[in-house]
Amino acid sequence: MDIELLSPAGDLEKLKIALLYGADAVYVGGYKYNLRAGAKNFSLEELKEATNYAHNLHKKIYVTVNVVLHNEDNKGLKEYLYSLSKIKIDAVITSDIYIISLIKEEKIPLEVHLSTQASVTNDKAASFYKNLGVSRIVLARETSKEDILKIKQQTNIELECFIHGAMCTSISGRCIMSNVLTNRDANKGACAQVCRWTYQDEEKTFTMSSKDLNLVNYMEEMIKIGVNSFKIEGRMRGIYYIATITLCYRRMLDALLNNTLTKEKKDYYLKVLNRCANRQSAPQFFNHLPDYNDQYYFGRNEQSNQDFLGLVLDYDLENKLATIEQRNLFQTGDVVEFFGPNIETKTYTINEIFAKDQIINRANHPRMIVQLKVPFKLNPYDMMHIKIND
Amino acid sequence: MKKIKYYIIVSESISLKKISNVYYLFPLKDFSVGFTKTYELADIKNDNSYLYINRILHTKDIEKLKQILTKLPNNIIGIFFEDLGVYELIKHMPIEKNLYAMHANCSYMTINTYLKYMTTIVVSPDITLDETNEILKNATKPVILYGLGYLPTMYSRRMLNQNYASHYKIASKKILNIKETITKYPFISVENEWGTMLYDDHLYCLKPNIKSQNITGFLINSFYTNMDAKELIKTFKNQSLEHTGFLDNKTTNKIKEV
Repeated sequence: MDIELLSPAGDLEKLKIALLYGADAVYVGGYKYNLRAGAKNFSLEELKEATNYAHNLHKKIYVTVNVVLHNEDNKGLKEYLYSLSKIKIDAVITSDIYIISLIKEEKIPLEVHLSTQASVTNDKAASFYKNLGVSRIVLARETSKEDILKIKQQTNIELECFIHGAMCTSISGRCIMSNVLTNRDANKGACAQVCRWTYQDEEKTFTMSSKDLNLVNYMEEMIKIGVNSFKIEGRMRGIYYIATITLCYRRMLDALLNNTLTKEKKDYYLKVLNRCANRQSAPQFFNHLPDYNDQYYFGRNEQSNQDFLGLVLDYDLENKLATIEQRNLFQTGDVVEFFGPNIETKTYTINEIFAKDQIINRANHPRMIVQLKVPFKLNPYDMMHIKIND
Repeated sequence: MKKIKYYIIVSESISLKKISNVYYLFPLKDFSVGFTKTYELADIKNDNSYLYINRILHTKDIEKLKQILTKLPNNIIGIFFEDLGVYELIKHMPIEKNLYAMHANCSYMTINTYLKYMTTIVVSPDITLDETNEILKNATKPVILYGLGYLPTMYSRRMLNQNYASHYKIASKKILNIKETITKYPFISVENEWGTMLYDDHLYCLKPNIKSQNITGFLINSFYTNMDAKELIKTFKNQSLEHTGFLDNKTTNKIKEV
């Protein structure tokens, strides 16, 4: 059974990391019409390069065209869709009915996936979109297990579900709080995340922020009820997050499909996932209506995460020297771990740090290049983080 | 000249008197959110009434709604809805199918595509006056504009009021008046068992001088206004309220433009 692992990519570097770390497909946004205006995003040239890169690895790339359209967006929209089809991306992700019908009426050779912004939570709505020619539905995060099962039974359409990452407090697309408070249009990609701001009534202050989504414990059930694609949220996230989350899910999914996913393994990956996200997580709507335990009530709770210590640029096999780009402070005596798509996670104690023919005790400059003598083989794009106890 | 219709979403303050060109929309019990009073079919006695279904529905809701629709009385002439699953249920029924997708109907392209399926649609109030006029100019069928009422700003499936109360171990309220702590911008948070609707706590009124043959009528949400139908229409016609939402205030999607 092929279950797709779908990772976010806010730029070309993140796309390469996501695919190297085990994603079967990535979703990205162009400069226009996409709901992450704050991400670096992709020009058409970069989309072409990204598509070629993904296809050379026999992987897929989906492009979000998921804003709520305003009148002025009509200008250039058709041409943009044609450009995407020429690049041969694998699908567009959209929620606006005009975009879907434009693609179908113009016979633009593009597969259409319905965005979660359309908030499909029932089989009848799914049928409506299937009849329009949509080949896959990204279900609303509010969809329950029973909903997914019924939608699959009644439509037999491909289903994509978010499995990990940040959640809106609102039903996706049903919020203009950011528009009201900051003039930044949430449905055009500029959400200011004002549900994480504090509000007050006559008694108390509180936020309305949701804890993150984490469906690790329900992956098997999701596969059984017909989910085809597991989606990770986070196009604004950095490479360490993308790599860590993608790799954890890759390994869990592979183990699950091989019947080798033990409780111990799952617990370990859960620990890694929770530490990486630095926000608490919950299964949210899959098996019950979230309650007060599934929200935050005090401002921003995130702790700054400085786990990511370095990115491996190169490894000299003969001299066993790893060239590392520093990402957070590390020093001699630190016990760290190396991880990557083609190596098992390995523990290592830093004994010496070489920088420009000098031996130093601390790598304390952002992005400084250093070398470490590492006895096992590493590969470019492997990463070094602090040791996460197992 | 054709008569403009007033579609009034019913709440406690509405006496339901018959008024020329006024049509009442009844928030359907178990299928609407953001109201403190909802209605079952048996409660709806007025002729030419509409059901109002603004929830995003789950599969169980669809089954339940299907049953209700088999008993739809003749005085119900149409349904205003947000979830397209409702359209699939009623597409062959001889009633009006009116899409009120609160934040999605922001362009004439989108609206004209929906109008291939729907009797009419409600134009989203999230856009400017110029955008609204351009929609009226290009719409392939007459549409409804949001005329007066508190503007919904967030719809959550979560029980936000109850969760807040549970967290602090205080009594839960169905309506909370809240403010964002820095700007002091006020919102009304209204909860029922199907979720929470936040409204902007300024009574919105569409600007004067919108005149077009392409307008079927105006939607008026009576919730929280404490006004009866005649007073609401008078307030709308006088357009004496200053809160005009986004009509003169175009939102941005480029952070540097803010």
